[in-house]
Amino acid sequence: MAELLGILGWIGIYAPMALGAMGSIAGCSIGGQAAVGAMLDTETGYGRYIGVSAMPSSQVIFGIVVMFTLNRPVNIDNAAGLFAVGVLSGLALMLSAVYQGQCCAAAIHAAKAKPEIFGLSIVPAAIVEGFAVFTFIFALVISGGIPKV
Amino acid sequence: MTAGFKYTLLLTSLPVQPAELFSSRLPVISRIQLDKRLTLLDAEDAADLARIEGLLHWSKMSERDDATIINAGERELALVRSAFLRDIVAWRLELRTLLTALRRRHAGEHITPADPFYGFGRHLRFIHRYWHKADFGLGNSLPWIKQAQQFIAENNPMALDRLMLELNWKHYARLSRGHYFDFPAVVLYVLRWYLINRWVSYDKDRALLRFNELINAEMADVRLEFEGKA
Repeated sequence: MAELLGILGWIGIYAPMALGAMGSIAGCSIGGQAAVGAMLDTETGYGRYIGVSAMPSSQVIFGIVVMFTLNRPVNIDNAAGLFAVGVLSGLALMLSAVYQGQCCAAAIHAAKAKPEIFGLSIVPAAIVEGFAVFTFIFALVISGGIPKV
Repeated sequence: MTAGFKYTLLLTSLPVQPAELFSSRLPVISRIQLDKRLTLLDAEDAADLARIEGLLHWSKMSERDDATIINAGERELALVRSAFLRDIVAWRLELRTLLTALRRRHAGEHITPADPFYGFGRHLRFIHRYWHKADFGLGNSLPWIKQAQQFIAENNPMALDRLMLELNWKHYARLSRGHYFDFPAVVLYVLRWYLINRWVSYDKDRALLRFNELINAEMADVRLEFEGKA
């Protein structure tokens, strides 16, 4: 039982970073493809397309910070807490990155046809980012209650 | 989770099509450029698109008798992997079947339930059974059919063509909802490209010029009687 808890604890420590990275990979890939496609069809605004497509990279950074915050010797008292906070925050970060990538692709596609809506078109992606920030901050707050030794 | 974004690069590289078909003055992209972008499709999707184009576009068809066209069409349609795409094609083929029936009846043909009538889709039995009715008994489910019948009766092919283009355009627009960066979105883009291309190619002066060219070409070898007597 102690061994299993140990494994779960380590999964919990690394999960925010790994799952956040998976989400950022997928999200940036979707946004990046949209940006490259838009560049084929337009003559200007390349930089802002690439900028928008990189928005889902923040989730992996949040994941790294949560990972370091959770990082501590794993024992029977803290393994369950580490697992729960790490995996759940990681999943939330992963989903937010993927869906943010989809919002970015839609924003790029819309802004390409109607450049004047560029600012508004990235609002949905920013809202999704807001939920990732909630996940990040409250993972940090809640991890303060997980025993360190 | 990302399956709906398979062709993000391809679709964002294509110019946005207008919301209204009849506001188009030029195709938003040339066929050459469109074909270049379509090279981004994977082999199976490209094969499906080629099948769909082959089934729907006259330029890709060869002249054969009705029974052969229908049988070959049904075989090809069954090879399209997605039910959603099969429905898109079947809807258009059904529409053409109904239009063919309206035109044949206007030309004076009479079909009895015993006569063969080749076509696609679920309306064939209505066509057979209600040949004598203006709308084949389908007026309630297909409100456009009465208008189409009226245009045919008035010998107004331009209005009929406009009605058909608009019907197709609205149908594709409706189907596009929920498909933004996936393969059905690519297919719908290509089908709408055909509609735009057809609409913008309507040109009275060019048509008259072409008609005269055809007449001259056909008449080149014809020697009229009075020419010989002179």
